[in-house]
Amino acid sequence: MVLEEAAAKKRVQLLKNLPTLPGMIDKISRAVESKRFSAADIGKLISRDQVLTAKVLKLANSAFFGFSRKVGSLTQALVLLGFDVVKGLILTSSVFDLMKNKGEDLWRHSMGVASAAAIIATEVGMPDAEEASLAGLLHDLGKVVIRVHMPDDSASINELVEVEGLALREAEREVLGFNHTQVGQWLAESWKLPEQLSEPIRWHHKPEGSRAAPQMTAAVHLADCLVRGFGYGDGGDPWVPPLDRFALKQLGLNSQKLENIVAELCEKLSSANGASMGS
Amino acid sequence: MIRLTVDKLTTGMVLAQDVTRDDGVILMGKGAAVSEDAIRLLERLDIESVVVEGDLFASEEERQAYLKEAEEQLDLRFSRVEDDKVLMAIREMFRARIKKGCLPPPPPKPEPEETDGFVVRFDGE
Ligand SMILES: [Fe+2]
Ligand SMILES: [Fe+2]
Repeated sequence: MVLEEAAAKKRVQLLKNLPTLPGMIDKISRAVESKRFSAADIGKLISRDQVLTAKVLKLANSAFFGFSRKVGSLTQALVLLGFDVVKGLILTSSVFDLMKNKGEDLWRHSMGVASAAAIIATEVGMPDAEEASLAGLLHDLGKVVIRVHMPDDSASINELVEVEGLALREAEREVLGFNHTQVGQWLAESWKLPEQLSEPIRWHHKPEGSRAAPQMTAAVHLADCLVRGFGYGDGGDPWVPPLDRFALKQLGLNSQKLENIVAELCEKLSSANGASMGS
Repeated sequence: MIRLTVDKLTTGMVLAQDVTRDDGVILMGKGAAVSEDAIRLLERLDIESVVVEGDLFASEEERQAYLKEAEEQLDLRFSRVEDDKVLMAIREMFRARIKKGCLPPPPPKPEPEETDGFVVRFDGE
């Protein structure tokens, strides 16, 4: 036990240095904190990285995100969406870049959950559908890190899922002693993400654990269940996880609202109508 | 309607939805016939996929077989939560949608490994 703990900790420490963020984020964060810079200044700063700019705009404008307006420039993105959302978009594209081509299915899962979280947030009258979208997009970031930085463990985890039929998060715990929600939390901490984003990352499989952002966490939890239920993308195992009652209560859902959410989600993600999101 | 990648388009198909650029400008309108020129234009503009009129299936049997498969997959996904009434209700909501042809897109084909450059693709929304 002691040995296991020590090993886990060592891994965590190794992980903590990873993945490195674009130096850009640091610069921008400091600019934002100093409050001496306008959105236009910061927009200009990010614009220097053209690849990043293109990706952030493409993400911000993609159908799944449900932003009500077209975002034409980074400055506009900063004004309309706020720095935290833009930062989240940059983080997302940086982290998923790590996965290269291997991550299409998880990418799809994440896009689907982003979509669903925004639909849920809107249906239950949460004020921040865009932030919900971002929380959905980021919720499984820990999985990316595990796949990329622990390839051997990742292989053992997949084997446990395929051969023993464990759910992915159980297999992660079995092999590593922790799961992707914890890895995600370490990342969220080192990136100083706001609680509205970090809590869903940490607690989306156990929503009653969230103190600071229970509703947002509940929305992502339900979104994850629904997207798995619809079969959009791949969250690492094929099964719909248990649906937490605490989360349902947080959202104040009744069957009519649930029906509306399912209808809109199907519409949005189906092969015929929906945006074919990210390949 | 059905969403097709641009390389699968053939002349004579009819667009079922507007084709728009990232900034919302309409490039080709709903109802337009797909011509050789249009395909070349879409390729040049890097449009990933468009929605055309038509059907995925060649025959009714093919459709039925596909729907049956989709329902089996649905049952499999929910197989571990059959004692949860709410999730069972959700499953049936999905089933009703499936029967109306509302299906998740098939999983993306794995791509050949690439070692250089940027690889995550944000295209095709
Ligand atoms: Fe997860
Ligand atoms: Fe997930």
